[in-house]
Amino acid sequence: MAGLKYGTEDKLQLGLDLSWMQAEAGLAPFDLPADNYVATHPSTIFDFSRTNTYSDLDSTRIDTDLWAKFWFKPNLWLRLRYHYVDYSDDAPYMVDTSGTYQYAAAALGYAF
Amino acid sequence: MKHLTKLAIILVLASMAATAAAGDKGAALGAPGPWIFSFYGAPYVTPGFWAAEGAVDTSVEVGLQGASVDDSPDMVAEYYDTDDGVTGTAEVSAHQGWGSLYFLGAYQSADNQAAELSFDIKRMVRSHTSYDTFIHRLGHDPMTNLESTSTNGKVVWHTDLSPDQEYEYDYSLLDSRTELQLASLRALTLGVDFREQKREGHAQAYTTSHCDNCHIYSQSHRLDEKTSDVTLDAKLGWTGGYLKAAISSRELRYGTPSVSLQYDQALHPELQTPVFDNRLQFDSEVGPVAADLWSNSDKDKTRIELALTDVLGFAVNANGVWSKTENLYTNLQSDYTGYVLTAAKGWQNGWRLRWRGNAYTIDNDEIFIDVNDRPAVGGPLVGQTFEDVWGVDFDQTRYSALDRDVFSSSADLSKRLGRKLGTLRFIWDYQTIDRENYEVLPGEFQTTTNLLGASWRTRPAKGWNFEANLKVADVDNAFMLIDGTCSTLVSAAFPTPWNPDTAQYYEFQDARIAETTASASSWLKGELRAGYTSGATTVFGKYIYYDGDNSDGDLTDWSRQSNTALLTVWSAPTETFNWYATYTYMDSDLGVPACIPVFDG
Repeated sequence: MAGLKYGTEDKLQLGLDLSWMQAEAGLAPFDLPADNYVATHPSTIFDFSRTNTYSDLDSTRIDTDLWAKFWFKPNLWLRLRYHYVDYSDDAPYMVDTSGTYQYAAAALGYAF
Repeated sequence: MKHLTKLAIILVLASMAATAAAGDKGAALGAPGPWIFSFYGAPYVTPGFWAAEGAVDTSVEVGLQGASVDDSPDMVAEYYDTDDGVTGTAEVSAHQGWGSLYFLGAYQSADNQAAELSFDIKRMVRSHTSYDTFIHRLGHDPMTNLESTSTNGKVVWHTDLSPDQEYEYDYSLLDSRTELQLASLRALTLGVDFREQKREGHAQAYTTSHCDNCHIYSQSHRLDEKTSDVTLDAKLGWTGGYLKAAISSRELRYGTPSVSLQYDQALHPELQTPVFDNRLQFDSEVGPVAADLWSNSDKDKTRIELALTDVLGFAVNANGVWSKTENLYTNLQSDYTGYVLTAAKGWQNGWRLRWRGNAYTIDNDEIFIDVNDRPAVGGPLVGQTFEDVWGVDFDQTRYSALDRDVFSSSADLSKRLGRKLGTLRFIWDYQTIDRENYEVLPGEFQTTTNLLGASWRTRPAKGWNFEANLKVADVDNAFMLIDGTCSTLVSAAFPTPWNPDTAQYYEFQDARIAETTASASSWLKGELRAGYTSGATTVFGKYIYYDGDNSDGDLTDWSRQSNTALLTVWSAPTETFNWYATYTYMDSDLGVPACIPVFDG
C-alpha cells in the first residue's frame, strides 16, 4: 500500500492511493487411511487426491484511488475522483468472482 | 424513496435549528463524518470552513458520476455504487451567539446517501444526527456444487426458483442523540437516543428436502429488516462524580413473511415408493409450509451507573444492567443481569493500578420439542412410527447452552521507571464461565481462564520508541463439543434398510468419540513495536506472533499459529507534499483433525 498527497489550500489538492493485496489459503491433502475402510473399499471408489484443492483461495486485489480538487476562486472549485479496482480470483472452483470496477466523478462546488 | 424520506427528515430538523439561527450569521465548523470516504475518497484536507465567529458558511456541490463493472461485481464492488447519474452535496455551518449548527447532506445515487446534522442552542440543547446508506452485494450462489450422484440412483441436486434475482440489500443507519441541560440546573443532563438500522433488498433462502434424495431449493427472500432502539437517560453530576440511569427499548422487525415451499415427498431413492414417512416429521403431504423463518423480537434494558472520583484515593465506577429479550414467534425469553465495578489509582512514585470486575448471568427459557412421529404409509413398517420400530423417543426438553454465570477480573499494574527506562506493566485477567446446562468436557460445566501479561514501553533515545508485549493464557475446560465427530460405528451392508441389524443415523451419532473445538486451551502472544522519527520522516514496524493449541479432549488436536508483520514509512518533505508506503504480511496455520463419515443413505 502506498500513496502520496499534495496540497495547497484554496489552490490545488491531489491524492493518489494504491494498494495491492494477495491472499492464498488451502487445505492439506487428505485421504481415508482407516484399516477397516481400506479393507472393504477399492482404492478407486472415492478419489480424494484433489478434494483439498476445491477450497483453495488464491486472489489478488488492486485498488487505485486518484482524486483532485482545483480552486478557480476561493469559493469556486472542481472536484474529481477516479477509482479503479481489479479483483482476480486465481483459483476459481464453481464460480469465478473475478471482476473490474471503475468509478469516475466530477463535481463543481460553490461556497456562498 | 425511503432514503429520500430520511434525508427529508434531516432537512426538516436542520431547518428547525436554522430557524433558531435566523438573523444571526455565524462561522462554520464541524468535521464531516466518515461517510465522506464513500463519496470522495480520503480528502487531503478535511473540507471544513473555519471562519471567524459570527459567519454562516454555505456550500453546494453538484456533479456527475459514472461507474462500470466488468465480469462479477460480487467481490470487486461488494459495497460500491455502480449507478450513473447526478450527485449533489450541500453543507451549512454556523457558530453564533445562539449556538451552532452543522448540516451536511450528500446524494450519490438511490443506494448511496449520507446526511449529518449537529446543533446546539445556547449549550442547553445539543443534538447530533447522522444518516448513511450504502449497498451490500451478496452474490447469487448457482449451487453447481450440489450435483453429485451415485451408481444406484442416489443424487444430490438443486433447483433455483429465482434464477434471475440479484441478491443485495441497502444498509442504512440513522443515529441520533439529543441532550437537554438547563442553565438553571446544570448538574442534570437528560438525553434521548434514537437508532434505526435497516436492511432492504433480497437474500437467497435455502431449503433441503431429504428422502427421496438430497434436493436443495433456493429462492429469493425479500428483506425488509428494521432494528429500532430508543433510549432515555438522565445524568446527575457533582464535583465528586455522577449518577446515570438509562432505559432502552429495542424492536427487531422483519416486514416480510417467510418464504413458502412444498418439500419433496419422502420416497425411497431407488424404488421411488413412500416407505420413509416415519423417518421425517413432514414432507409434501402437508403442502406448502413456511421456510427460512425470521422471528421478530423485543428487548428492554435498564442501566444504572455510579462514578465516584475519590474513594480512598481510587476513581471508582459501578454499573448494573438488566435486560429482557423476547422472541415474538416462540415467546421464549432471555434474561441478562450484569454488574461492572472498576477502580483506578495512580501514585506519585510512578505506580498505577487499574482493576475491572464484571459479573453477569444469562437465563434463557427452555423449550419442549415434541417430535412429530408419523407412521409409515408403505413398505414393511407400514402403520409404525420410528419409535414403534426402534424404541427411541426423540421428544426432549432443550435447555439453553447459553445459561451461565460469568465472573471476570482484569488487573493492570504499571510502574514508570523513568524517561529512558520507560514504563513496565503487568496484567492478570481471570474469568470463569459456569454453564448451567452445557458440558464442555465430560462432567465439566465450567471454563476458567488465567491470562498473565507483561509489557515494556520506552523511548531509549531521541526519535526512537519501542514496545514489547507478552501474554500467556491457560484455559481449563475450553469450549468444546463432546463427541462431536469420528463415529466408530462400522455398519455392514444389508439388502434393505429395514433389516433390524441395519445401523440407524442416531446410532452413528451416538458412536462418535472425538471432542471438537475452535478454542485454545493455552496460548501465547508476543508483540514487538518499534518506531523512529527523524525530521519529517517516520518509520514504524510491528511484529505479532501467536501460538495456541488444545488437545484436552479425546482425539482433539486443534492448533493455530500465526505470524504478522507490518512496516510503514511516512514522510512529509514539504508542507504541501507527503507520501507513505506500507507492507503487511500475515501467515496463519490452522490444524484441525477431521473424520470423514462415509455411508450409503
